[in-house]
Amino acid sequence: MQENYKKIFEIGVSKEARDLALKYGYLPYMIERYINIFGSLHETIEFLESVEHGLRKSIRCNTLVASDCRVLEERLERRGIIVDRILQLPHGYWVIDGEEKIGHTSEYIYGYYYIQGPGSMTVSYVLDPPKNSVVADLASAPGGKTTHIAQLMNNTGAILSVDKSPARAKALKANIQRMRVENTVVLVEDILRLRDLNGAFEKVLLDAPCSGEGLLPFKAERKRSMTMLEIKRAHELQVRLAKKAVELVREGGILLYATCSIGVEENELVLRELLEDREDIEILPTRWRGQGEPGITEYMDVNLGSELKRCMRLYPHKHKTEGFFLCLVKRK
Amino acid sequence: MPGKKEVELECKESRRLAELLKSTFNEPRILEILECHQLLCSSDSTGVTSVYCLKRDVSGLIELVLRRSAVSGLRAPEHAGILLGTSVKGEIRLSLHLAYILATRASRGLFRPQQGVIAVNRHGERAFTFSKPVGISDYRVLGVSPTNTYLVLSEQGDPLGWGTLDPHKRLVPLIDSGWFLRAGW
Repeated sequence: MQENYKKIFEIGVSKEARDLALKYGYLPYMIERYINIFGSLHETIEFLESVEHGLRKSIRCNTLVASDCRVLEERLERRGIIVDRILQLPHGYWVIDGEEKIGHTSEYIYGYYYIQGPGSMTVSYVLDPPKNSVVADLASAPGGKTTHIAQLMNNTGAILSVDKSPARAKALKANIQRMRVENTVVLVEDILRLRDLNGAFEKVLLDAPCSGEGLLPFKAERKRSMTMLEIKRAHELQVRLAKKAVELVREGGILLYATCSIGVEENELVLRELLEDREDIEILPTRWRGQGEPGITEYMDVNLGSELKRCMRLYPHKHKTEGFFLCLVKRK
Repeated sequence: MPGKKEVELECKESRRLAELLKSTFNEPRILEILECHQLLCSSDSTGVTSVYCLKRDVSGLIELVLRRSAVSGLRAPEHAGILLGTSVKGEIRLSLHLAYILATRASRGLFRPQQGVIAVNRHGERAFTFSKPVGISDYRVLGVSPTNTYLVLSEQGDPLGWGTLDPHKRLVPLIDSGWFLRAGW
């Protein structure tokens, strides 16, 4: 890591950050980072308030089962569950009423839908996997994105779905079966050991393991669960994983780097180090139907590079999604 | 850590499983209907063999993974394509995955079995998905299966699992879709 990037991890904490941390129950350094990300106290408070309000539950209609999602709408309505389309997501629905029942209906068991946040759904749309292609989904359990990718490919082609954890892979395999996916190979393996599959994939998704602070609207415990040192360690692992993931992409293919974190350390800084490591990659414009804020190009007086504005950020207070970061990287 | 797996293309269990399916539905083309280009057998250290149906592109990916895993010492795949079933101490058990895929094929007119299917009414559906036997008044046999193994569907065509008829003509679940909730995933 370059010397000037290190100061990103040596963050001081202002009085404003301490006051907000006390009020909202966060570790103070997290608030200081949000002030630096949003550039104003006003927007930081908007973000913190939206986290407090939480998010509606959402589901993804599985067209591998329901060829017409209106059938799912009607079936859920008969059970007292009212859903409403999420405009920018073709198979996404907000759960308006009956949220408490959504995890144990017959339609859930039969694979008509997957309970998934809108930010997580956006990832597979942005990846845009072509039919009949060969795709890799790295760090894939419990399978929300693998099953979505299979849906978008209409069960054609092949997906290599990799996760390191045997326990989480059980959930992945169960979800593949429930969602009627036919085109996936599951490997329980450390991504960093995949060296002999280099250049094998047209598209690779790395939804990197992260602090998960984008999930704060669902998981309040994340307000105090990670130290700055742990974020630094997460960053170091993310850089290694991103470098490995690029190697798996064939020439002309695409890597989508994503995290459910809004931290610059886990996102733009990872891409910055990736760009410095390889000359054969470029950042592609990353947006979905006009959604998304640009990536951050300057943070704590560190210039991260103007090309990173092509990356995409999602926030609860602006997009009504969990916090997410997405960035398409093309291998030339 | 997952146990070491032995992987081979085709095996005696895959041949037995294919025969079971053909007899159950009296459908010699069952593997074509499933678009199986290849069958894969994966045996773990406890003696359980899982049999998978691989479509052509999945087969290509598997060959790549297996070939390169021999070089790099990667673990064998945990799952591939469609899990048809497992062989446990010589007993073949059809999978929920297969029931789900066959239900999809049937709903799209790609699988029209003349036998080996049972349709269950709403009352029976509830019992079956709680792993309980279904009384004779709550199901209809759509063609007797010579193997006494039945694909069990709801009246709407949703997959409930696999069942068998006991001497009292009750439909007894072999595996039911409620497992997806009971497993806690």
